[in-house]
Amino acid sequence: MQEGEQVKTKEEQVKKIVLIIIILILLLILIFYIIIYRIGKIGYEVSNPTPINTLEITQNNISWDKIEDLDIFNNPEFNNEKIVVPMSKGSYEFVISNTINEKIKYSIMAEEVNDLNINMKYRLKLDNIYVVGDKDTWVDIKDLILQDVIVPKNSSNIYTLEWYWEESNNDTHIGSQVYAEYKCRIKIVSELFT
Amino acid sequence: MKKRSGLSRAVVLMLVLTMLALIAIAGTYAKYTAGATGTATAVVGKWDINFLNGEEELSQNFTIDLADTMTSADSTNDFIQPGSSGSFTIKVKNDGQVPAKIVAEVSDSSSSVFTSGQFTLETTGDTEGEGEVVNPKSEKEVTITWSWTYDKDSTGAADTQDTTLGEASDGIATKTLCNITLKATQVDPNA
Repeated sequence: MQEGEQVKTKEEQVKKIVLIIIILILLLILIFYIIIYRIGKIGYEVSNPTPINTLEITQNNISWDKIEDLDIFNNPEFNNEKIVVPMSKGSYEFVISNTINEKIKYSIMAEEVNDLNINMKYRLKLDNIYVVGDKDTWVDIKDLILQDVIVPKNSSNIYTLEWYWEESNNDTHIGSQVYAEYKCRIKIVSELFT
Repeated sequence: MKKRSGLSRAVVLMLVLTMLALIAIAGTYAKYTAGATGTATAVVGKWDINFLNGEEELSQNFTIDLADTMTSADSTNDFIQPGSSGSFTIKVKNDGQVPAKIVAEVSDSSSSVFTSGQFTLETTGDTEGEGEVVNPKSEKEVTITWSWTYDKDSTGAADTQDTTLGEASDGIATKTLCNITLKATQVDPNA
């Protein structure tokens, strides 16, 4: 009788272990299903995934993708031509929209091509509140950074980028060049917020 | 016992596989990124100002004999003295893209006459020291009026300074009396 009970207990233990294995197998199948159908095929290089259009960045409702040269430096002093001179300033509005049904986290950074060392300064407003610099403070482009902004699904953030050429000792030298150019690049990197 | 050990191994293996699969998902999600870059270009507005005497472009330093420009009653003299005044005109050509304001300033500290205020300069169109504005792609004649005030103050200090300068003069008209700087400054676009 005791032997019979021991055999029965062992059988129950085996059944439990088999059940656990079945559950784990099902879990694995589920995970692989998610990998295959939601993210992409197995074996896809995770270091270089297909870019997914999670954010749309626009200027006057036109996507940045379709604009070769942004209107940041359109200057009313020069009939909205992209001309800058010492002490001139301007502002540029752009919108970052989350186009998918999940929260997204993004960061903004900037860089310049400034061979002549123009003393260009910036500050940034998010929904009309300064998030870089303030009403009395301008920053260099290297400090024009905004990190880990979370935008809810199907929502937008309105940004105003303000620029200002602060006077410096080499302004006359810069203005006397036959041709002088300045470039500013705004980079936005996003990922799903989980 | 062997059977249990084999099952345990199977469970551990399944757990490891499950963990690896979860890491794979986490890793894939972490790389689920996108980016956008926008570029803006600006051209620097040209600054190109030239000073001319008639049609002749003036070099960085040029000489004008103030006695030749006198308009006061002593204009027939070939020297100037306290009470003399006069004016001369310079053409300013703005070939740049930004407006410039022109001011004339005494830039000589060799004598107190030029630093204490009895020798004055005024530039046409100059209101409150703002200077005469010359717009881009245009030229304008700017008149600089000079004056050596005869009676600057009642203390006699200015007279003493005038006397000192007069005694130091050797009467040669070509001697540099004072340096005048014509300065072109970009008009503040925010003003």
